[in-house]
Amino acid sequence: MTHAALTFGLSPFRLSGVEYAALLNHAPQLAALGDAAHQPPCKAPPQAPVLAVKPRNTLARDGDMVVVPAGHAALAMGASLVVVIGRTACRVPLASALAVVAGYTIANMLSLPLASHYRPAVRLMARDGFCPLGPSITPAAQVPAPDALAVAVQIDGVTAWQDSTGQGVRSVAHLIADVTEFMTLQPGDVLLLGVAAGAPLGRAGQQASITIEDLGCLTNGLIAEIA
Amino acid sequence: MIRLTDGRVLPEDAVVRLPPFEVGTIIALGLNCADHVKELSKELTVTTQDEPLVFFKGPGALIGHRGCTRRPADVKFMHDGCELAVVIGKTAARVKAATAFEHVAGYTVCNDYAVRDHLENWYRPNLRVKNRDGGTVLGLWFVPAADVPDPHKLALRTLVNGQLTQQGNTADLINTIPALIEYLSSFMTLQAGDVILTGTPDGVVNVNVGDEVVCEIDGIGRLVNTLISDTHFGRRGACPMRIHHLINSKPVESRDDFESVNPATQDVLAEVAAGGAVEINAAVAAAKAALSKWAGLPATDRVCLLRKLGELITANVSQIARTETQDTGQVIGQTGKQLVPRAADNFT
Repeated sequence: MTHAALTFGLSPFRLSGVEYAALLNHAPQLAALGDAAHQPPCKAPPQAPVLAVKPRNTLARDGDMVVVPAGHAALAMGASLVVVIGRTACRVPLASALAVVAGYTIANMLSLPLASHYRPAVRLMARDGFCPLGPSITPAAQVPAPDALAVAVQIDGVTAWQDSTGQGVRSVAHLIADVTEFMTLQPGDVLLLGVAAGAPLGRAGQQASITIEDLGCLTNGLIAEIA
Repeated sequence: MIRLTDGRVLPEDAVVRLPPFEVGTIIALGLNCADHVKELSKELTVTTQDEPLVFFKGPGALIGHRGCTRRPADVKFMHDGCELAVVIGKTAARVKAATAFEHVAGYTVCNDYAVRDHLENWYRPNLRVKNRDGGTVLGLWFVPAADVPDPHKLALRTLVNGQLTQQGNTADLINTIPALIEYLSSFMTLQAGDVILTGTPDGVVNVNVGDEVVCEIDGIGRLVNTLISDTHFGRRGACPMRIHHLINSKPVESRDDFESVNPATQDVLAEVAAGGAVEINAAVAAAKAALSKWAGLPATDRVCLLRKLGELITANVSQIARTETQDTGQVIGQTGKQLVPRAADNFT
């Protein structure tokens, strides 16, 4: 179920397989944490972007089946805008950040339910096939307002959740500027804007589809793990 | 000297070494050495957990042997960390510890830097601490597993400018290599080229610009890295003051810099161009060229110029004294009432 070399057409849309994802990049979700964000173990709200690496074993494509691990009833279906980097991006100023973007697509950042935001929790988030991308990359020129796109998740064809890309703590440009202050992104790397709160659950046997305005629809079936 | 595979023989510093294999997923372990956990126990809100603390890194963090890593001017605590890197050689999914070594291709040394000033308690350790450009040094070479009879019996140590700062032994790994492979492969398929950084022992220390950091693992290798300043990366302005040479009335930069640190706050006060033979020769040549003109001036003109210098110092005593106090730590009364006025006296 893993694809070492995901290729979505020709350069500059050839993906490197390197994926970073913003976590907790949703203002209402942080606000909802309220005082808990100030309590141990976290002690203070996050200042820098909260990020995760999505390793290559998590990569999957539109149409791939995702395994719900034995002993677990459901997975969270995390709809995220995917920013495909088109140019080497190091210390990119906010004002010109969108110029390094080649295009956009959709990710489903699947996860087992998280009990805490304290540790990287890779066992819950970085399982094989847990980050399908697709269906295709839309050139940036066709997406003039990436921070105002409608997002919807359908489970078995029924809309389970709706939001927009506009509620991030950081916009697309802001995230690129802040991330590239300390780590350089290369052409074909992708940066996931992050998941809004309240991601719906999907169970084995169901099909999850994520639609982002102008970008198409990413569909993956869920199957139970064969013990 | 190094002989390349194509036959060329080159000096060490004429080559750039990359990580010694094509690196896939970089899997790092936190708190996996018994003594390091003890060292950090005061600031940890949890103790050693049952589940290994695993985090990932991206490829931009990697550099090879004899590489240079940026040491930001505006942080107080950046530390190194010597650890054994285990390289996967064969796809591993749901592997049991008993057969885990079949999936190990070999080993190398890793020096994994952390900038602790940026530590935040969200998905900790966060990427701004642990996934910085050039912050993960890997090499110097790849050692096949067959050449390492027992990877859990390797002494490792770090030397900063030749001083021993960190030592440990892979016998102290809380989660052993087979245990880590069993744990990781239970939820993620490991592939050839994936690398597991097994964790660093006791004794991490702050490192500064100019430091040479050597990480050694017996039987594996000796990995060298040098810390360089923001200036090399065109990052100026993070530091309040930048001092260059003034030769023949022109500002002159140097290849290397040093930092002037305020002893009271440990803040970097200034980045100063460090002169070498090139700058000294230029200054001497400029002085020689100027000497005949200076010597030809009437004595009264020369006195006027020297007095003017003294007067300028006198007019700026408070500012110069404050800078001197920040630079040396002497009390302001001493620099403002004695030291700087005394400097002015030299010319008046």
